[in-house]
Amino acid sequence: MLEVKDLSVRYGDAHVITGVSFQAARGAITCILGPNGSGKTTLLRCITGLVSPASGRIMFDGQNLQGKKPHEIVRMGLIMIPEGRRLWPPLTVEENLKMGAYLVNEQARIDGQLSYVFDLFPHLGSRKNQLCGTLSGGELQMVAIGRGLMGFPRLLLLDEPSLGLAPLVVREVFRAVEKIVDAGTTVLLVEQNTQVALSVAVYGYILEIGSIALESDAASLRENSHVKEAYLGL
Amino acid sequence: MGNLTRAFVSERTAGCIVTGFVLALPFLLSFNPYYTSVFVSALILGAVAIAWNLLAGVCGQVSFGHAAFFGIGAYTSAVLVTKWGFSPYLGLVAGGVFGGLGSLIIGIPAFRLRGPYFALAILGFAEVMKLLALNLTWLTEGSLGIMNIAPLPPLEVGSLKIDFYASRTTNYYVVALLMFAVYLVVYFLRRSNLGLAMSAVHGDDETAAGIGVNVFRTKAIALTVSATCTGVMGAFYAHYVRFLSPDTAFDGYWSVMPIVASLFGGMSALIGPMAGALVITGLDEFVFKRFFETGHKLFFGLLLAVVIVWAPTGLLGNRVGKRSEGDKR
Repeated sequence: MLEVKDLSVRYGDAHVITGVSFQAARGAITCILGPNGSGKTTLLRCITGLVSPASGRIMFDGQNLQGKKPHEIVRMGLIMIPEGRRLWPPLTVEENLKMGAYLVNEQARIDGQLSYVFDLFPHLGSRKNQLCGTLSGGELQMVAIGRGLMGFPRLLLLDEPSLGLAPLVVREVFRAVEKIVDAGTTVLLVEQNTQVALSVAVYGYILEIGSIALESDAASLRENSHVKEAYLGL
Repeated sequence: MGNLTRAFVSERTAGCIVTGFVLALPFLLSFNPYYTSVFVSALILGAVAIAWNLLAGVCGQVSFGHAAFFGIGAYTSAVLVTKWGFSPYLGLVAGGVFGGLGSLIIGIPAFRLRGPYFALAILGFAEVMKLLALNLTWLTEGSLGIMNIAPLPPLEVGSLKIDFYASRTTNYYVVALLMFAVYLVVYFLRRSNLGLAMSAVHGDDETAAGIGVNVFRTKAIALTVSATCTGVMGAFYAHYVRFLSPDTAFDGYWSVMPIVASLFGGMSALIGPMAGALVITGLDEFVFKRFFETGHKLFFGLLLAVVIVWAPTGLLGNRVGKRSEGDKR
């Protein structure tokens, strides 16, 4: 569904990503793992058009994303949930969710998707009139994912959804992500929490200092000695 | 938040109250026509401040150089009317159009910058425009200025003749009408889908892009509408004062005072800047000038400091808009 080939990104003279290639298969979770500063977030920002690549090609559903503006990419069904949630604190939960449907014109579709999000995160239903500035980290992450879903994504990019969450909440969020995939949305997951990411993903890539160091299906990554040592601490 | 008895009104109610006050003001001030002309200036300032606040308060892009669009509007109309004999009414329209076009010239490159850098780019643009007005003497008469600019001619509707220059009071009501028109433009724009996009950009422009908002276009529209309204007010100013020089038309006053008025009145309410303009003009006229004939403008600085420390959301800031559940606690 998403195919990235030989992608390089530079900030001025600093080479952040050099020659990265990977694929995200339709209807599954693909994960990209890596330590701080390895270029994970830059990679996502590049796919969503917020940063333009120095070279390389990004294909989404057979279409080249080169030169496309962020809002055009969103319109194509590729939506990112940014790291650190980035909601609008003065808006309520429901308003934040509805903002996610900015490009959707039919009220019936918006209402339908809204009840789907509240089914997915029952927690949010009881808090829908609460200001987002007053929510806990886990609830914020749920609203952020919900807001992404409101735009009817075909491919959802998740940037470190586990960041700053308690293990129990991380499990809840990832159960929801699995349900989202079951409902037909493809997910590209970028994580530092290797253990959780590999337990839900089908295929994984390890990004180190801006290039892919290792790639394999999730099960063999879990058994890989380098991954075990450096990431799982086993 | 504490104060439970705090008055809380909708934007529409606040707009009606302030407009009602504006309409009643000439009667309150009828003892001295001088004060009426003071408040004509206050309304011009208020309208520019409302327009400035569309860009800053709604869309989140602060400009330090609205004098550029004010001066462009003023000079456009003055030149068209005095040199080519256009009707001053067409001059108002042309002033708005050129103010808007001028904003695109600086806006398209400047929106690559963010926050203070964007604000400073516009400040630089205002200075460049002032220098152009000084040096393009064949068009603007340079530092001599343009004199004897025609006032707005009387309007004749059937047998009814409305002469705006019959008295200061009619003049006052023309500018009140313009101010209200600017307010309505901003009011309906914020209620539209585009206004929603502007609020999203204000909150976080990357997230706005993430839900499919065309960030550049949204900012450009906010700037252009804001500059167009400012240009119309500048054109009105030219026909009201009837004399223009680069120093008055591009005066830093038109860049700074809309900001002071907006901060004072409250940026989250669309009518806030207008209320701010009225109050600071009133304070200046009836209090500061009484006690300190020279240097009374120093008090604007003090006033601003007081507002920022004790009421950072301004006079109307937290009192206008929607109440949400989180507020009740």
